[in-house]
Amino acid sequence: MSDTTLTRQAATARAAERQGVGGVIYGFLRNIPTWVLWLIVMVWSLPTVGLFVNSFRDRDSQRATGWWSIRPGDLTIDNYDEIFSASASTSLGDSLLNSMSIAIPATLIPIAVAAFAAYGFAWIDFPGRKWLFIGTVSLLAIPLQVALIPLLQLYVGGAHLTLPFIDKTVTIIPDFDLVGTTTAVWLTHTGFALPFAIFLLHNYMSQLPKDLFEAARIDGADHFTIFWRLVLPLSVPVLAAFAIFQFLWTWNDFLIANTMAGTNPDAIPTTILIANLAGDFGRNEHLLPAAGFVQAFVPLVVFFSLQRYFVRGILAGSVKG
Amino acid sequence: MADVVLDGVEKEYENGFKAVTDLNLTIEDGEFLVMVGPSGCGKSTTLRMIAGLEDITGGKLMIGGNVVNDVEPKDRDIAMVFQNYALYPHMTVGDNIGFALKLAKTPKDELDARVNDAARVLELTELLDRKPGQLSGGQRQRVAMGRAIVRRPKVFLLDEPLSNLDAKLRVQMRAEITELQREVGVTSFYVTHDQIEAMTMADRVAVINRGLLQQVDPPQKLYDDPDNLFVAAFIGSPSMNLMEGQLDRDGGAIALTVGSQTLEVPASVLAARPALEGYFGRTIVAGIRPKELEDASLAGDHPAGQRLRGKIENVEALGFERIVHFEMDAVPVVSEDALELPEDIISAELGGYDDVKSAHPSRVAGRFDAMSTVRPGDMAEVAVSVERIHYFDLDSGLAVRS
Repeated sequence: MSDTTLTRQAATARAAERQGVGGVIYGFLRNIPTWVLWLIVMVWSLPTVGLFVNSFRDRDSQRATGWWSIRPGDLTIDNYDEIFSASASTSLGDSLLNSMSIAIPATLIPIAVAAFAAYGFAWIDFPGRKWLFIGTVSLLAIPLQVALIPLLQLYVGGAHLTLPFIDKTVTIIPDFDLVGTTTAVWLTHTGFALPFAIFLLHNYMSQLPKDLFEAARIDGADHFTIFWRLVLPLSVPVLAAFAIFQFLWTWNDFLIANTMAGTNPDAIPTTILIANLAGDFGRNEHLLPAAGFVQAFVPLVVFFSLQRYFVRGILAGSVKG
Repeated sequence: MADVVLDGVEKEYENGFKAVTDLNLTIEDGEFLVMVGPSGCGKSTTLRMIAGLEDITGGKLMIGGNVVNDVEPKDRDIAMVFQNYALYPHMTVGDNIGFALKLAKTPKDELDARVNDAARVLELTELLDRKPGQLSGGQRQRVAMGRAIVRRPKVFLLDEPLSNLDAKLRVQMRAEITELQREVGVTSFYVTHDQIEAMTMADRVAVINRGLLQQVDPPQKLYDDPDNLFVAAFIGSPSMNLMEGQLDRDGGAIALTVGSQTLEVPASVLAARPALEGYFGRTIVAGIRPKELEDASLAGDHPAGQRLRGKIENVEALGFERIVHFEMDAVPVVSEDALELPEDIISAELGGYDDVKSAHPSRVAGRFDAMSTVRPGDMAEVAVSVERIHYFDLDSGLAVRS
């Protein structure tokens, strides 16, 4: 009853406000956020549309006119033919596989590690928990670039420590000869994803209702059971959100891949392949739009297949309300 | 089946706050014991200590004769119903109910049979495949109950399980839970701040305040014979009228002076409580339940010496009766404990204890018959059932009984 009454009151109030010039101005102002949103959507998607259109135009027309002066008869799929049959040492298909073999482990492994860590930080009381967590989160502040060279050295030669005075060298991490492999790339991504993943998952998990955990404890569940049967299923939205971010970031990454694997043509992901396609002095610049869309296709699939997990209310019905 | 014994149980938090002090309480085998008290009185802490969710910092807790102070919740053979149900949102009703059995590695066919049994008892059979999010409040409440009974535990613990339901459903679930408890006969410990729940459901009620147990008795005994001012003020709605008075001998009878008015109390009261003699000439606390007050015009030939007069401030017509608030010049007594009661019991306009003490006159509530025609502003002529007046020591707050 109260609901409908309130709605009706609100409707009456709104109608009163709409009357007269004041009402018109009010109505206009009320819609401003919507207009701004549409503007942002336009600004963000227009270049993509332009790129998409250009990917179907040949080299000369791309150079001569803008994408908006397209005529239906101009369209061609030559660019796509050309990049798929490009006679580089690595084909586009191989590079897509390389991208996969980087992005998939670099997404799944941090999730697996961070989920355990986040549960521990959120729900297991162990000494030093607070400071360990602060330490982990403050790693977010370390820029990836400062670690590139040290990491590269680690992958090249392993890590060795020469003990002073006795002049003996101990190998801490042997040389796994990782340079030029996709392993080196996803290993780096994994390391740098963990602080953020733990932070994000911890914040979500610590918000889960405490009563659920107590109920499970009384029902006879230990920490592992609670984690596996309760926390993981309830954390699906945040896991999906993180997976999307991490997948997009690793799929689109150029810097780490170029540093760690750029020297080996057999291990390069699509991002590097595309950059190389353009060739010296931008000879094959016209191929970039088409290649860009091939590269963007996979993330789109990932996004749309995971986005349904963002639906709110997965906790509905567990506790009051 | 088992009894639960709390032997000097204490809870002191790390910051030094003592939530429960020296609690001695026995929940008999199969008994439904309700613990009631104002918010923050330590009742939920007590329940959580029995459940094992809270460490016990002093004393002994025994379930079925075994000391379980350091036993894990899951090994105590208890089941708990949470205030907000704490259902697993991603599992179906059936999985929710069967979760504990599944973790205990119960064989599949036995598990199904027991879940179906519990569902039948609680009329949840058609809902077994739904998720908690698709259920109404009352249904969720029943699933929470099902999760408890399916385990056939030694003890049920219920933490304000009805407080999230609307008033009508609460009355219905009250009866359902009581019947269910009687049917399965499991020792039950129920915590609530609602005295109506306590009075209607319990075999015995334990009243607790500031971590101290006040009285444990069957509901009627608690109402008829409160041990102290706190219990007297807490149980009953409207609350018992408590005011300062003085007892004097008046020939064969006794005179009770409250404010400027005097009530004749028959000598039989003194015969039942000889200790009252020691209070002659001193200030004592007189407590009169609202139901012992009646419109004198409806009371027939009620003796003139057993009446009070006062100006009527407010009349609440409830249909079956009228609650009449009138003013008297007696000094009201509000125990300091009672000041912590919810605001609907102690009216909000009263400031602190000192204000209350100096605030003449005191406001008295009476439950008059619906036939009464008194109106605000009238002078009320109130008949008092003087044999039923309660007496309390002013200093200790304890009832004068013997």
